[in-house]
Amino acid sequence: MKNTKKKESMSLKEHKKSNVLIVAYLRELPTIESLNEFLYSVAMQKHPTDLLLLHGGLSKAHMEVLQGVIDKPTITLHKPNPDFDPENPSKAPKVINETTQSLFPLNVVLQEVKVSTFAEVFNTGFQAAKEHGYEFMSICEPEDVYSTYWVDTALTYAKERPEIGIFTPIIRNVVFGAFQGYYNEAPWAEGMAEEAGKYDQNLMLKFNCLSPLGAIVRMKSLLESEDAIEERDEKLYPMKTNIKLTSPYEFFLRMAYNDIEIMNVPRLGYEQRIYRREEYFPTTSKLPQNLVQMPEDKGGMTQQEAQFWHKKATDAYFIEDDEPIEYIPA
Amino acid sequence: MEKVEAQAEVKETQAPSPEEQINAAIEKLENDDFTIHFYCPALSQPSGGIGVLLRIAAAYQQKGYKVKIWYEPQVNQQASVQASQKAKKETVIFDKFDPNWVDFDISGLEFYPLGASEDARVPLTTGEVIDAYPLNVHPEDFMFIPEGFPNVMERTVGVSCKRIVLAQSWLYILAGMKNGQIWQNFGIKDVVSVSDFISEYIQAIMPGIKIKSLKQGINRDIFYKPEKFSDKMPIIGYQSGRGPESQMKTHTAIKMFYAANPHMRWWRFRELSGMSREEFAERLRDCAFVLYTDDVAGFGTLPLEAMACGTHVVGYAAPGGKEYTHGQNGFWANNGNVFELSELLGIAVDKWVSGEMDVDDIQKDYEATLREYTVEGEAERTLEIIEEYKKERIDELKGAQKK
Repeated sequence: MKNTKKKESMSLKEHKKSNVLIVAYLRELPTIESLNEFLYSVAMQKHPTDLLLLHGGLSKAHMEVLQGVIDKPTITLHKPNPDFDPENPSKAPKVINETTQSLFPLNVVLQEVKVSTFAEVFNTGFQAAKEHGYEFMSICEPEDVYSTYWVDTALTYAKERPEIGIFTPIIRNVVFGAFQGYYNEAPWAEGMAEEAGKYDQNLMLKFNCLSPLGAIVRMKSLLESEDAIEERDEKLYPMKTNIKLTSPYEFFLRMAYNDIEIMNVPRLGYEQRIYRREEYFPTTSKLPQNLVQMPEDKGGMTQQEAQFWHKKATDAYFIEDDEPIEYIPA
Repeated sequence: MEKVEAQAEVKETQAPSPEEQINAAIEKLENDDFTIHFYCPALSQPSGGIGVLLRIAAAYQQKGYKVKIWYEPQVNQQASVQASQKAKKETVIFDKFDPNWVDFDISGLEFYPLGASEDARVPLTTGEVIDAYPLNVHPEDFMFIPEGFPNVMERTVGVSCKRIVLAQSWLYILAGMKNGQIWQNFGIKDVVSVSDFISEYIQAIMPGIKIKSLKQGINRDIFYKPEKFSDKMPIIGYQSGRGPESQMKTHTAIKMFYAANPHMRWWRFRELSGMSREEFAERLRDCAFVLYTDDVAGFGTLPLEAMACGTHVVGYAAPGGKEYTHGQNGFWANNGNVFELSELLGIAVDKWVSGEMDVDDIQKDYEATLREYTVEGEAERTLEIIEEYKKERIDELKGAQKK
């Protein structure tokens, strides 16, 4: 939080309309289509939410584009054309595009921050949610989309299950536009979890089976668990910044270790969109499949280092301190 | 004086004339002094059909009618072999018939094992030895016989009471009959049918038989929606089927679902059989869906019980259930089409995961369907039926008297 601008943080206080804060970080401006879809999915939530849009300092031109989308989040639906004639395909197009604008205004606050890891993005959002008295927070990435009823469904679960601290959605994984499968679903599968739907220590230690994206975090559950989160200078750091790649995994392990219950809501709540990139920026929680092929100066790392950080996550969740950790190649 | 008394005694023991018997029967019917007999198959495992039969019997018993449940004790082969070896002579041991899995009170019902003679005794696996009785009925009585027991209908041709078939399945009606045989051949003219389809079927194959309709009620005390929205789990309940082929088809539908929807492998299937009604209802309540694969059901209460639990149905539009299946209250495949069923299951599960099923209107459709099948309605109709039969029997006996 040391990098957040006080003035903009104040504006969140002025704009607070909901009990749920959605946090996203814009390292750069995604495509207009992507941005529209993301903001539309936030604006159209059945349960209204506030959006804290963190950015690393967008240019004036990009800011104008962003503001334009914020004002009217619009999506384009590709529908089959009833007038299409397969006998005469040149007469009318096969697919027609229909644009739909969000029915609800987006309650968004922009805030410039200097962050270099996903953990810092999460911690910034968490601190903002805490300072402004939000009951729930959720982190996402601006090239992805929420299901429009996700927050409402998760809050229904939260109301019915006050003992649960974190609710994860079923995530739809889309790689280069193609559906690849679901994620976060492991605790429902036969013989996986001790209690159906709940992520337990044993399950999570078997493999990294959950993503922080789209999850609804009950602030109270985390704030009341003193041993789970490091506190420095009156600020909280729920996610460790000293662990590369796997800080969300370590976070979930630590939460479960400290008896903060994590449950999956068996509803599609989030679409994670993965694109092939030539460079990896650690402000995303999405690990590129080509990470070990990437040069080091583009964010890549060796297989050994990736394994080291994975192991570190499973070794470090007992303690909440965020002490520096160094990887020394063998 | 002694002579007169002796003559009086002789007169008392003289068999009443047919006219006197008819008069006595009419009088007893008018005074509700008759017995309603039920022939009940003595199955040890839970059975929907026996449940319905006993529920009707219990309704009559609770209303003050005399009710007797007759059953033929089932031989327990294993226990018989063991007992024979021990006794060094052929010994037959029977299972105890104790349908305690029903979801209503049957403590007031009297169960009578059928025996060939007055002194017949039935040794049970429990070690008890109980008395068996020959069937004993009177002209004013009624006897209900399940549709699948033409042998019982045949064996009771000579009894004096009115016999009525209780038809809960269309499949078993002709199964045990000879070609061309109809119930009228056994002197049976009356049927109580539990579904519109069974009624239509009987009318078609045995024209002229008199059918009364009885809509079954779903017990909402045990079949109800879970308290919390979040109690529903990604689980699909199912009953594997009546026989090996049906079981294989059900399991094939499940495997096809997984094969076609690999991203749904986290969904679990739960077999709902071999449990008490309460436990069955509890487990059904947790399920997001029930897979209904009974393609020969006479009526099919599982879909209705599921609807009452807020559990969506993916199943066959079996003829027995055609009176309640429609597009809004389930995902219905053409009867017996396992490919369509499996495909529909994938579609339904997709919709549920996408949240499209989380709307109140769906439950409203279920409730609209269930309004036709209430316990109160069933109880009321059950009593109406016996009243109607009573009047008809009185008219019948009066007609016989005139002749």
